[in-house]
Amino acid sequence: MTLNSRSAKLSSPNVKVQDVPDKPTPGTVSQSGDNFNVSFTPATTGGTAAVYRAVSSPGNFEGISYGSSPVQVSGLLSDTAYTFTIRGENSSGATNGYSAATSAITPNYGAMQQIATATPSNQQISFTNIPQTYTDLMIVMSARNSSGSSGSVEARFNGDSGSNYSYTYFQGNGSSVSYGRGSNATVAVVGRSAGSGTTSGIFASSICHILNYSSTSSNKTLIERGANDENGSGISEMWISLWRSNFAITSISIASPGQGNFASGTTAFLYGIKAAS
Amino acid sequence: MFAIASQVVSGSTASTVTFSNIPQSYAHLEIRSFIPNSTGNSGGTGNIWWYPNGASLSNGTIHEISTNASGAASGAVTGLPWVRTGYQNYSAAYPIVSVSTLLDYSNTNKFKTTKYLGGSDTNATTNPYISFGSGLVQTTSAITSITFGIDNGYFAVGTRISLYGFTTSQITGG
Repeated sequence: MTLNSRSAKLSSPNVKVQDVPDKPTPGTVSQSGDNFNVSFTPATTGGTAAVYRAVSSPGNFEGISYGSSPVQVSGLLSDTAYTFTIRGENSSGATNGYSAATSAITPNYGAMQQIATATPSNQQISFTNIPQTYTDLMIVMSARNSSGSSGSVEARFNGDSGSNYSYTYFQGNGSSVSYGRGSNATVAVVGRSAGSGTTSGIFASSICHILNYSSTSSNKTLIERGANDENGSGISEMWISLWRSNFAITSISIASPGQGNFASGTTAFLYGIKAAS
Repeated sequence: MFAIASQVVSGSTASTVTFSNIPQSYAHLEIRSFIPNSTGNSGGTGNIWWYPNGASLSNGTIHEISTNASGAASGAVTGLPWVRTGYQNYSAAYPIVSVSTLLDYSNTNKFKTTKYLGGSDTNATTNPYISFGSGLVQTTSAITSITFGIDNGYFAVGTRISLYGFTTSQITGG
């Protein structure tokens, strides 16, 4: 382009003419945990890119990098094939458009995926609208009561507060073991919670497996291992609980011992585990 | 954790369930089993067991702590043809479940140790059961197949046994 040097100097003395980046060449896409790295080769023609932008198809999930490959994109859904296009943008946002598409990649987040997280503060926990697409559920908890002593974390499924639960347990407190059971109970046991009177910062930990939760032809059995250690006292335990229902589990309400609330700092994670098809 | 394979007993009962050609690319295995009830199996009680690589063992060992809600027990047995992945108490109508892990299954320099948590609850004072146990497979061979069976019977229709692998590897795609 030829400029009239006189008019350019007079009318816009501070204008810097910028070249616009040409289209980059797409490279490979790789998965690293929950993130996807979209690699590319910058164009050898056109201007220098300040930013590279990659966008997915479908979904328009987008990521940027500042001047170099790769671009990192996240949020992709499992079991969906994605391609990406990339463009370079100069500091003014000007671009000569998107590249050709990469080869497709289908995210594989593994068999265990996080469904929901709860961080109650003087509250109970409710997981609702649980997807029916997994084989098993797993609840991972770090729990402390808002009030009351250490004890078992109670759960009800689908709002059922009837006497349709039962359980058997085995516990050790460091000096002796105890065992027992309850029939026609109104709750199942999915974890353990530290008492409100324990030293600040103490939380019990537990993992509970609910197998075949979406079955409409069998009752539901769940197994839990949990422990609270309170610097001189504590319990390690295992529980097996039964919910006598052929309904698929679509919601879980969780309470501290005696249908109490959980203290701030409590965390509960609900995972889905999908078997191979 | 990645799903490797899953088998559901359908149509008719099965005396054994076998997973072959287990990939050697994972660090550890997890086994999750669901049995609808013991009536469909055989009506009896007994071990839910497995052995590796197509041949029963001569020196499998197990340790277990358990309760049936009437007492606590701790036991061990050596010289077994298998190791446990759970125990079936009489549970006519209610599921029997277990979750087991098998670490370093592909390691050719060490024996293999498994642990499991499993049992059943029956809404009754008779026959509930929960146990936490271990098993030792005294072989340095990599485990490439696992055969599951159950004492005194067969797996009921509706039984599901699923195999998962743990890895830290990243996944790449084109």
